Amino acid sequence: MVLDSFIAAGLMLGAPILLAALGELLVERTGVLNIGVEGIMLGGAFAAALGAFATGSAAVGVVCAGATGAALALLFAFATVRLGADQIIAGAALNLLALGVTGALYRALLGATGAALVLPTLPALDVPLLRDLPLVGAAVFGQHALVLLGLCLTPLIAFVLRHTGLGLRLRAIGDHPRAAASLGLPVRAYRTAALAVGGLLAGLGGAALTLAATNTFVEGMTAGRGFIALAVVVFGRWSPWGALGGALLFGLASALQFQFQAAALAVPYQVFLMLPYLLTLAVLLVSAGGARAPRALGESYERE
Amino acid sequence: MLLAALLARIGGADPVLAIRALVLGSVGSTSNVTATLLRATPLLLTGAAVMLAFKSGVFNIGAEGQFLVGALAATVAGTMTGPEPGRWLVVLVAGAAAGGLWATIAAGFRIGRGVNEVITTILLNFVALYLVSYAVDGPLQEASGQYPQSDPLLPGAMLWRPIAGSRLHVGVLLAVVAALAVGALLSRTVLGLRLRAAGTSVPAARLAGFPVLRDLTVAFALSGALAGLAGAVEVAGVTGRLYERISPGYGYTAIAIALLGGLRSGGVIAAALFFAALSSGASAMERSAGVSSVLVLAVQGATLLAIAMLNVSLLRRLVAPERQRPVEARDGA
Amino acid sequence: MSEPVLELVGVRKRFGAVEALDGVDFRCDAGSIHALLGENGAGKSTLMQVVAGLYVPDAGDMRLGGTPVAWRSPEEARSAGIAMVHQHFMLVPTMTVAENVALARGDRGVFRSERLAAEVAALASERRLAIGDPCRVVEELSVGEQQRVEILKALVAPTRLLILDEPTAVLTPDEVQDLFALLRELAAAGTGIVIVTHKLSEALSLADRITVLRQGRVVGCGAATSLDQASLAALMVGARPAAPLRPPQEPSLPAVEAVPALLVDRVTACDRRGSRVLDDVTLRVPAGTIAVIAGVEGNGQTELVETLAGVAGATLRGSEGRVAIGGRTVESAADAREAGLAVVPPDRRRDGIVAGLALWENLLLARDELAASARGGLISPAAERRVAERRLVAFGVRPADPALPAAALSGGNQQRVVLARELGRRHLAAVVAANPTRGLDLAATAAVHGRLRDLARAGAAVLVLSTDLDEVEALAGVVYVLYRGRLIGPLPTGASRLEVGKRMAGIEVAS
Repeated sequence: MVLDSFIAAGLMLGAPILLAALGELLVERTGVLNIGVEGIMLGGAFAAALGAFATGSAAVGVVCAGATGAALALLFAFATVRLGADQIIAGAALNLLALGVTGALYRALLGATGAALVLPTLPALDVPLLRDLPLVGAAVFGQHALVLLGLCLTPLIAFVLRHTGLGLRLRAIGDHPRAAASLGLPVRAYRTAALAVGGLLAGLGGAALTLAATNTFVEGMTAGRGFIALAVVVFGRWSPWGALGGALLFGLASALQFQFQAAALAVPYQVFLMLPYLLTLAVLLVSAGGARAPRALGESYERE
Repeated sequence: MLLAALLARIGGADPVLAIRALVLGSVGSTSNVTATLLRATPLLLTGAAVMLAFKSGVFNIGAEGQFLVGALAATVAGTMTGPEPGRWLVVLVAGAAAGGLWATIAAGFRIGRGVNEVITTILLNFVALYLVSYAVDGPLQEASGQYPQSDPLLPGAMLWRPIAGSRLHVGVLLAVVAALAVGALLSRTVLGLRLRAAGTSVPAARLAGFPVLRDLTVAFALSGALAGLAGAVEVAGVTGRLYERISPGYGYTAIAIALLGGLRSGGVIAAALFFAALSSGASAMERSAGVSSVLVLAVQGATLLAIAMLNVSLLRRLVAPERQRPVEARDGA
Repeated sequence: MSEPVLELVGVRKRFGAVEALDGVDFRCDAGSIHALLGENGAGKSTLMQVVAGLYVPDAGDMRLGGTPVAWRSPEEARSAGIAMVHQHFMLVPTMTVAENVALARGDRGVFRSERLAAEVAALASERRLAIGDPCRVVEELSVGEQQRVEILKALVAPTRLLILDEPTAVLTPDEVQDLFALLRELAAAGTGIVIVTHKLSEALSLADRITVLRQGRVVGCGAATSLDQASLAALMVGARPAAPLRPPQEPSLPAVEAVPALLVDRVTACDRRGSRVLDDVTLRVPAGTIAVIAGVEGNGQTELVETLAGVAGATLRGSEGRVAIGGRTVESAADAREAGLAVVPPDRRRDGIVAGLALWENLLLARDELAASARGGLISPAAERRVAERRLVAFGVRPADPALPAAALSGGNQQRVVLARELGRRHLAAVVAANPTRGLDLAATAAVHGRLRDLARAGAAVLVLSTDLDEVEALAGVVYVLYRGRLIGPLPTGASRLEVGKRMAGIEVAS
């Protein structure tokens, strides 16, 4: 059924963005703005490709991706949280760094033949029972692990933020770090930890790109998806459910491309490539969630 | 440098050989110097664009997209029929105008909706990329329809090449003049002072009676225009036509260049030359020592990160101190 | 006499050139309420912040329940049983009351919102703190309610000493009574209480003992029953409390002009949260005169200056009324500058100077200045530097190097730069200066006052807002008081320092 496959494609294409967005969401809730998500995603994508290629196992690739993502995020954390470097500049630097290193390493290690890389893909999971639900069954529960991870994390993160002591502490640090500090919370430690988890998730998002949505790696393949994830966080008003909605929207928009091609309409393919970015801009225009952002977002916290 | 050597090792090449090839390749011969200068030109113009923006507190990460639309507009202007003499001028103006307009979109988002320009300018980069891709695949495609590229520019649209037999074009000089002009604008004009004030402290600029919103818009537009000009110069000076990969990331490299140059004209010129040298040397390095040229990007990124970490206080004062929370005055109550 | 909970001996604290605490002794007994009185800048908050672990003293001893202690962080103080309710609340504005309390309590693990709300409500009623529905977001609470939440937060852990910093500044009279009843109960249960305030009457009615601080030193200490308002006020305001602020042989004011040089006409404004920061303020300052508005910080001075300078649109909502300079209505900063207004802002670091720019550039940070210096949009740095150097020297800026970035100067010198820019101008119609001599030594202060008088004599309308009664006295102008956004005055010519001080503290004075 066309709708079925459309939704499935949407979920699969949106998963990388969802994972990265959830990670960035956690980070921004503690008040840090990490525009280096793009670079982290790319790093994760490459690490996944490398790991999977070297061992023939997609699972190993996923682990590599997560680890790389966390490591890159910790580098960013060191620069910004510990040393107090400007978050925007450090993020931009991270992007450049990732672009250069992955490109260089790719050419050196994997791209020798010049042909497109073929990587093992993540197997689709077949969740028994749930898979047979009408309409959404196959589309949702026939997906691979990372998609399901994203879908499970969304309510989990939402719950943690709203109903646990940990969530309270994270939110306090993002909205009023001074008040949090006055209660004895180690602001920097929390922010670093959030960055590490965020990096992990963004790295996994990259893996979802390399090992599932496609099964190859090309230079710069994230193509701005990290930035779309950033916009999705804003669009979703810093809530996990909103992020899910936004990521789905873009996944479906990307999936449209294939639907239209299948229908052989005479629309230039570049329009579809542009669509996610234009959509993001439109969304930013309309939502401009300044009022709901964590109050201390982007400000370096300095201990007295 | 250390990073480069490390990566070279991984690539199975001899680091010493690689670095020697790098240096020779960048300045070892006349043709190499020419190549370096030609590569430096777009870097310098976009670097100047970013410098102007950052000094005004505008985080223009969209120089890449502005470059592309500038190249696009330049190609359109350069392939349309019209009077021949002065065509090159029309081409340049078209490029600058397109870049300026493209940047103003992001300005609108920031001033009208408070959306951080980092995100909007980056998104616009991708839109511009696909616009160019569409153009050379469709309406602007060359008459023969063979490759995704435009027709060559009409005579009179290309920039003058003063030295016979050399590919050096007037645009190189234009770039240097532009970089110096930006520096002069910032340090010697009323507008420049207002921009720098707004770039550091919007409340102080407002109190001084400066038209802050208007000045910010001007900053966006001027920065975009410079980047768009860079695109036009590249088309009219070097390539002669438009094709998809006309920019290997000039707009992004420009950020590193502007910061490495300390947001000063002289520094930006030096940094642009340095990166251009790295780049032309890198191709040579790739040819003779087999090391990947994409390495350059990694070096740039690492450099930028290092700057960001080491010069924290300097950077803060230079670039965006208003992002800091103002330290509460402690006058002892 | 009961056990002392807290004892301080010889505490000193210095911030740069300012000696905030100069050898202070203090003692609070368990179960008693001790009021710490003093004007702005006297050192009261600083002293308590030392006790609460926010600052480390340069010298002195501190004993808690007899045991010597020295904190390195507020957490240590808190664990030892010292709780502080700050003047500026440390509540997370976007979280609910219950969540803020849970945060303070250090809740771990999962909680259900309803159960938490019920717990917090129970806790609140147990302590007789009316905080309303705990599910409300803190941002939406009234200031009084927010304060009670802060107190509740402070009380969730065992507390031996509770410090409140200017708690009644934002409360209505009824709320003040409720607070006092609560504090008395707490004291009766054995907690030591210190209340930092500048309000005499409240200190007298609530406290068992009162200590008065002035300029970092203890100038008086005793049982509340042995003190009265007059003696306390005298201690607080210092020398010559009964002397008139304006010598009677002051030249008579020019007849009220048809068009006063500086006019504030029924200005009312609210801040982002909707509370009124300026309440129907009307002020007329004729050309050639000096008017002084005295007031404790936080009563609307910043907002008034912003309104006069034309920048209020960015921060205030719902402004009504009109501001005019020399007859021209001012609606924007450009208007103000063009009308010939000089502004010395209260927050020099944010509004007054641009740290990254050079001194000579900072001197050009005014629209009219800039227009006058530049020809055809161009500035000549060399020429400007020369002019700047002269001005810097004239205003005693050290070092007087025009090429230095403003960030390289000390606070006091930065203030001098602002003054050099604003007061060094030609053709001024009006001057608005907020605490112009903050951070300056006596000689510089006198020089600034002299300059202000010169400007007035040259025809400008000079308005100075000050928290310092010495300055109010020295300027010898028409005196007003700003209290909670309301302008009181002009005070009669013979108004004494004491009377002004009382009004600043909100005490009604029979005229």
